Amino acid sequence: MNELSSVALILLLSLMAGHLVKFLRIPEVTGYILTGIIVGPSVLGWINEQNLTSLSVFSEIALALILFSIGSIFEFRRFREIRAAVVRITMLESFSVLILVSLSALLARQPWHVALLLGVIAMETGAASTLMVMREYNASGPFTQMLTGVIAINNLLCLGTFLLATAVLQLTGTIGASGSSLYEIVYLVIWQLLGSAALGYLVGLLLSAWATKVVEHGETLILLIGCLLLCAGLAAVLNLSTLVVSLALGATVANFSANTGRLAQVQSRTDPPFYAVFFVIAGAHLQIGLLKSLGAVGIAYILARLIGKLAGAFIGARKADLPSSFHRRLGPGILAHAGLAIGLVLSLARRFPDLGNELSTIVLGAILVYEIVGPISVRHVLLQSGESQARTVGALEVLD
Amino acid sequence: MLLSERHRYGATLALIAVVILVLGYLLRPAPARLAKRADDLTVTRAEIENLQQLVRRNNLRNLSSNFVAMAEDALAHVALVQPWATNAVLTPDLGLIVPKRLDALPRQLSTSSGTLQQPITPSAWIPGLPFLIGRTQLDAEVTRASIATRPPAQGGWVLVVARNAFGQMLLSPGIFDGIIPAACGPFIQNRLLTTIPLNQTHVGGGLFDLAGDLHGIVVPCDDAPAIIPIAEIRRAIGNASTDAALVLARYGIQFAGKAGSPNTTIVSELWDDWPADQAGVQPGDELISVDGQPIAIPQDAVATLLRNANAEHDFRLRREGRNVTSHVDAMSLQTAANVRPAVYTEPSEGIAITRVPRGSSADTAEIAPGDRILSINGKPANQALIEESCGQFRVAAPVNVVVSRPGRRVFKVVQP
Repeated sequence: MNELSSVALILLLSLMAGHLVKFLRIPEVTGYILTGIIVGPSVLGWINEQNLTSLSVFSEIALALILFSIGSIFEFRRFREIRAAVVRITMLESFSVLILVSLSALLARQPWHVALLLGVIAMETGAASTLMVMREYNASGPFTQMLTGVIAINNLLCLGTFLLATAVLQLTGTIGASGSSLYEIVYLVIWQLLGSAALGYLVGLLLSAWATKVVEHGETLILLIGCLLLCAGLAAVLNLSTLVVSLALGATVANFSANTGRLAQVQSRTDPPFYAVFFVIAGAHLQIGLLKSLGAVGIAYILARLIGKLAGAFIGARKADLPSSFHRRLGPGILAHAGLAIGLVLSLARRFPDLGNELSTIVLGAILVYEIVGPISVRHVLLQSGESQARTVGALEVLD
Repeated sequence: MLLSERHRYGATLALIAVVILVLGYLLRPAPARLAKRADDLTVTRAEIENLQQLVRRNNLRNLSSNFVAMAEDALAHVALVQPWATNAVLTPDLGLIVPKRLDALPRQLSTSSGTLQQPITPSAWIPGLPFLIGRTQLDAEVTRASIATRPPAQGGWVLVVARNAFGQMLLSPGIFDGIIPAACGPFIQNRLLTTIPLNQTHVGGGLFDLAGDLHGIVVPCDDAPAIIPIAEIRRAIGNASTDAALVLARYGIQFAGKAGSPNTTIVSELWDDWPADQAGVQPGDELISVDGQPIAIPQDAVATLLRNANAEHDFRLRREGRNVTSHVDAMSLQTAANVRPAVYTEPSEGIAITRVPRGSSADTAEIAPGDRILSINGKPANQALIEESCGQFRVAAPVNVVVSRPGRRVFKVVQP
């Protein structure tokens, strides 16, 4: 199948899946991902590896859009109120996952460096799928804001810990036997965090300044996509982290632009096709066969992460004196697992082939489980919290 | 006009951001190899981008003179081995690396490097390696070859340099994509990945970077030509030159300890038509003694066999409760070279395995897709028997399995 027909197939099938999942009362994202798994190489093979490679530009744009949206949570005025609680909850849930997953991997007789890396990767909460569920149900309110904040900080924390962990493992000579000097390793950590934030900030200023000059919907869209692609492109050239750059871009625009609302409106009217393609592609990349080969470590990873997320968020929310209704809902809201975790595993596989392939079977298998369960549980807690709004589908008003 | 506090704050941050980016860019660690060699070789980016076009049109005269000099430098290490017209790479430490795509093994070959005709002798021929090592008088002349100590920069330009049947330069440029863990026979575990579309004409050629360093050799693998890193070749020869591999090369037999009984050695692998196979030894046989020496652990058997090289050996074996005696002749490498094809065809007997779930009992026993099961617990294999005895993800009791792989039979115990 050529690229154009595969995009057409993805769009139409995702639309159909979106309709179908309504009856099952599960989020559209889960429908998209399941569609991807079915039409992807591991089941029907309608979309092959070659199609997936050529469609990666769609994924890049969609991921940048998603992270840009998440970045807007860092609007200083709003974030100041929830900062302490968000940081406390994120630290508790992330490090409980790190400790529990690492310990369980050690018990499953994995070497300590594999256990550590598994723990670090397990910390990640899937930003894209969680945010999509929030968008689908028009969720807004204190709980949604808290959830978005936790996810944003969680992704930054996970990336930072990952860079530090790989740096320490390389310095101690545990992984990556030859090559990198101390300078190269330390440089990479600082550059990926500080350099990326700096680039996102500068492009964000450009976007904010220019947004005052454009008024039309179309022009605003061109400006937004142009700036996002500029970020992604420069990040690739300069070896920066796309994640941090896009988050910083979103944060800068939220704080410095008078047109944040208009940008968000333009974005939400335009991005559904990108998201549909993004999640179908993400699904197509998941291999259903991995489930059978998960083994004891995989199951330990899934269970330990589940316990870590639920318990960590529960304790964190209690310590932060949040309303009691938040205690039990935050944990299930942050179960999704994809995006950054896939990126981290792929970068490990590229830099340390022996190690990366061992880890990717476990992590990708677990992601397959969490990408199906995660969005469903986010939907559940959003409906419980009462922050999801009615949504119009055709002539019908649907209240899930 | 006075700036508002918000603007001042924004501008200060912007200044800091610019400083971070500029400093970060200036202080970035240079890709060590290329930076070091930049003085020796100045190929500009534009030249390199022009390269693929020119090479595609075989228009080598218009290439940058530096580039042609580098390519010719590299070509000095690529010899055409006659009469098979296959490429081989001359290296200063390993000697001549010739891919095993030949129907018969060479006792003496001529290399045609330029106008030179030199006899070569195989100095290492090890079953399971997709290449052989040869020695030639040309070795002494290979002083300029510089072997890369680390992989090329990810995304950097690399070239496969080979000769066509007339000895002319065959250049194929591409981009280096990393190392992938894909086996090529039992000893080679990794391959180099590039965007170069490889075909049979590249076999035996070398992979060079733009600094002229040799990174890998193109050899035929199970499916198609692949580039094997030089470091991997060196490691594989090291591993394959152990005593156990010497025994494998001379007798076509490998031993392993029997699971659960520490003082019993069994025959774990047999090469088809090799002396041990011809003498009637079977995979899974328990080895009681060799030349009257009782055998407890596999190392005893290896040591006894190597102590009396080139002699006839008496094997006392236990097979299905009965004692059997076999007389096994050692085979010299030269004899082996004459009788064995270098490329093995797929076996056709037995039941083919198409999939082995990761983590299953069969996977733990290193049974892999492509293997063909010949027998299970001594009985000839059929579909029903396979499903009954090892169809489950985890088997209930240990199962003895003999599998057939190209050119050999292997004994495996599938454990619960």
